[in-house]
Amino acid sequence: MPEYLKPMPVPDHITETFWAAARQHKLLIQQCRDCGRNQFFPQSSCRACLSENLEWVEASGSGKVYSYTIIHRPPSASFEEDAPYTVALVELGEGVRMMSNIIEIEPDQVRVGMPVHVVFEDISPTISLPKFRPAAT
Amino acid sequence: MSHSWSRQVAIAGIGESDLGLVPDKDPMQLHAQAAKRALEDCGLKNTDVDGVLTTGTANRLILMHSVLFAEHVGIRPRFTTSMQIGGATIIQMVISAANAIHCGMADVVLIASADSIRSFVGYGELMSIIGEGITELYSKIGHSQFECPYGPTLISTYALAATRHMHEYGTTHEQLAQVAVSIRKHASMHPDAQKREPLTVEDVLSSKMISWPLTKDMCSIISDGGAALVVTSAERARDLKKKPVLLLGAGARTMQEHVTLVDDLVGTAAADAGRQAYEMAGLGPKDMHFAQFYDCFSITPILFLEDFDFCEKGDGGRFVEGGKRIEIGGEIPIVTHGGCHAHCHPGLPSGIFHITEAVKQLRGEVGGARQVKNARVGLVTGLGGHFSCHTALILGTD
Ligand SMILES: [Zn+2]
Repeated sequence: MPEYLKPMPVPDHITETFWAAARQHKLLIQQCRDCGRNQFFPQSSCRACLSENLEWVEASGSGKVYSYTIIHRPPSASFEEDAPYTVALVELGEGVRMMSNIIEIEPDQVRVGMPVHVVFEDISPTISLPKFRPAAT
Repeated sequence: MSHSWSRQVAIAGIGESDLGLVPDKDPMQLHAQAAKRALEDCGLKNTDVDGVLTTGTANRLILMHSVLFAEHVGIRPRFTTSMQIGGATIIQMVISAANAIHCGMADVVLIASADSIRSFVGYGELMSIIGEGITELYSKIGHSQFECPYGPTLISTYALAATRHMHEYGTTHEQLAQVAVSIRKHASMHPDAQKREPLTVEDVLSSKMISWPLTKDMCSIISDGGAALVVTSAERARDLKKKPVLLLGAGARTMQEHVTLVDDLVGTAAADAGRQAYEMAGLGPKDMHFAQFYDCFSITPILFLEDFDFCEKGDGGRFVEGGKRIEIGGEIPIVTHGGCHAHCHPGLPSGIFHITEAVKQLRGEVGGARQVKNARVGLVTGLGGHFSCHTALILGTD
């Protein structure tokens, strides 16, 4: 595997479950056992009711593009080979949003509302990054 | 509960440092220069000041920045702190100053904010932390595990809002470009503006693509400089050199930090800040003679025209078309000094120029073609982070 120079997620005590599942190509979100709300990105407590009684549930991986931008001037040199690339907010079927890249499609073909599905990119021996591609029609 | 200070607190003095490219002054010198000019503007001395507020500078490694600044300019304040809520900070500082004055915890508050993010004078070894420059630093803002791995930038937050606005309301690239064109037109009339060459819609659209749909000319410039404000009671301000500019109303709302968690990218909480400010002032959008919208990117004035109720939600793009309605002489002139787009954008401090410009307009000091005729009341807005923090201030002379 070539050296990966882009920012690499570093799992912590809150997110290690998420990244371990991602390694198995499963997308987890948090669900609050007290108020029932789904939550992404994960943290130690529910942002709605402050409960620490959170459980991990597997998301369907299906969503729609809420909005997107095509980055021509990347934040750092490590992204330059990818530019122009798409940064999107994807709204999952479970009602939460995620930032991600839309791949396997030319950036100028991406549309708001487009159905997308998660796909995992293995970027290191331990980290797989959830990205999205157009859903099969 | 209402203990409103509406019309009881005033901006008595303003001062701007050298602006644009200032290769011979570090941030503290810029602060001190602006402060001296603001005190001279209203005829007060450093020893009259008993409140000091600053934002700190981009390196953020100076602890107790306001204390360092107070020492530098010979002030021993009763009330002092440094604040940081991005481009919403300056108005939040004015609100804090008014609160302190109104409840007797300070008589005269000096607000100062300046930075050197173009020349990086005095940054020394901090340059190795900042790296390539300020855009590099700002681009590192984001969730380290759930945003940064995808390569977003601060600009991309605003591009995401622009894309969504185009999708929901049919806003066009040309309308986005018009915002930059109209703001540049105002800058072209301002002797201190960093960018003064007039632009066309074509120029803006053909400038370098940064984060589609936003091009370079739809983004903030990078500058050195800063300014200072002297805030005191309206009563005391009436005895000073210049006509007091009264604080009529103010409002604020902070939503979230990360763009991933923004509820609605095209209907911002600025509307809430605006409602508070209008209610406190007892005024509405029709009463405003200008609107110094925080204009970090060309999409924000479009959103703010809607959120501050100058037009219906979704009509912002059509409102700016052709530019006439938002330019001086039009229905609601916006960003009359050239703003973050063209006047001066030293990062965090840049919102202070939206206030100094409002004060100059209300005093009638601008003169010439850039002066809004008979300007007696106007709106200033602030926006920090990723649509995170929204602030609004209504200023007037009566
Ligand atoms: Zn909950």
